[in-house]
Amino acid sequence: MNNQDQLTKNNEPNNFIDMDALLLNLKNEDSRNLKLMKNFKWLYFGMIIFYTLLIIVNPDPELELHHRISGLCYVLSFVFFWLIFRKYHKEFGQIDYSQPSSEMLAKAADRYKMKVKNFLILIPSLVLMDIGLTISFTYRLTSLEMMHKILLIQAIFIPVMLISGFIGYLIWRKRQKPLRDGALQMLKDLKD
Amino acid sequence: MVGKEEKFKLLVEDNKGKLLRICRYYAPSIEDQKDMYQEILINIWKSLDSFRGESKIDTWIYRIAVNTSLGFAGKQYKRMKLNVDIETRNLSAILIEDKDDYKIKEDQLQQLQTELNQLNVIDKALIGLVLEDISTKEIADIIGITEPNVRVKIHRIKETLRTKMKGGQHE
Repeated sequence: MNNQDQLTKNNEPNNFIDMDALLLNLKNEDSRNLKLMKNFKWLYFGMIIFYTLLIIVNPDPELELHHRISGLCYVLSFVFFWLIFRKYHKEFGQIDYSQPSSEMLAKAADRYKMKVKNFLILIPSLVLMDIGLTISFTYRLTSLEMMHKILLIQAIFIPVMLISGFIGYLIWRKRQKPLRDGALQMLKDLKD
Repeated sequence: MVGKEEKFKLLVEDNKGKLLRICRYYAPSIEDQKDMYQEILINIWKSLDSFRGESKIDTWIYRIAVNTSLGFAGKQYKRMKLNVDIETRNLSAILIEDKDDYKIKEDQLQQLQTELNQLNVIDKALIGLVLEDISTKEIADIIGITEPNVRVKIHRIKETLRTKMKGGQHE
């Protein structure tokens, strides 16, 4: 028996790692993820239904048409955000380590790519949120003219969204770009 | 019918030697080896439901182990090391075809270790599989490139290492 096999024997995995504790954690993690996803889904649907009932279908005579229209915009914006969240959750949660390395690396490089379509799919939610905010605030800011009110809301909303987008870009550059670069370099090494 | 937990335990028990060796190749410290071993077990658990028996269980296990090590490398891929010692299985196979007749000497080891760590991450992964004495067909299945491509790559790596070990230059 050579030294390495001896070392392997001395470092029995059951001593290396507590298998029972690991298994328990794995099973707990599985059920926790499933539960979390389920809870989040119901929480989101609950919020959409609550908001719909409260602002859109609520028979309260004090709720005017503009309240209902802005409420509808918020609800639709939530629905779009939910669909986007679900897509990403599925994409990131299903990394299969048992596929050939070249396939895994190609998928990783694609997953961490900053794509224009990732921004485009956000546009409907952002436009709906913008419309909802504009309708709701133009009726509140009574001292200003209509055009000034709209411009003021856009002057706040658009920079906030641009700053959020820039922060998202910085996070991608720090966390995901190195992973994409690593995967691309390894793919290049595989093809050379 | 065997449950997932039972299947997992059996699989890990049957393959613990190769999993530990893979960890030893790519993780320098005991702490890193432990982290990588745990990560491999987690990925085996996650992939267990999707195992359809289309590939050999050995190939499947090696894929998960190599892909996990590449995942580790992905985080800091330029710093990934390939660790060998004088007793590493099949170490002489890297330098000479007829490995039974040759044993690497202590003084060669340091240089070999240095040269191995000059290789890129993919070449390190390929050498790791060569050290495991896996056939080129199986390596092709694990890495996802053609068998002739694997042969060419391994031949090129060995040639480079041999030339460098002799003190020559190889492009």
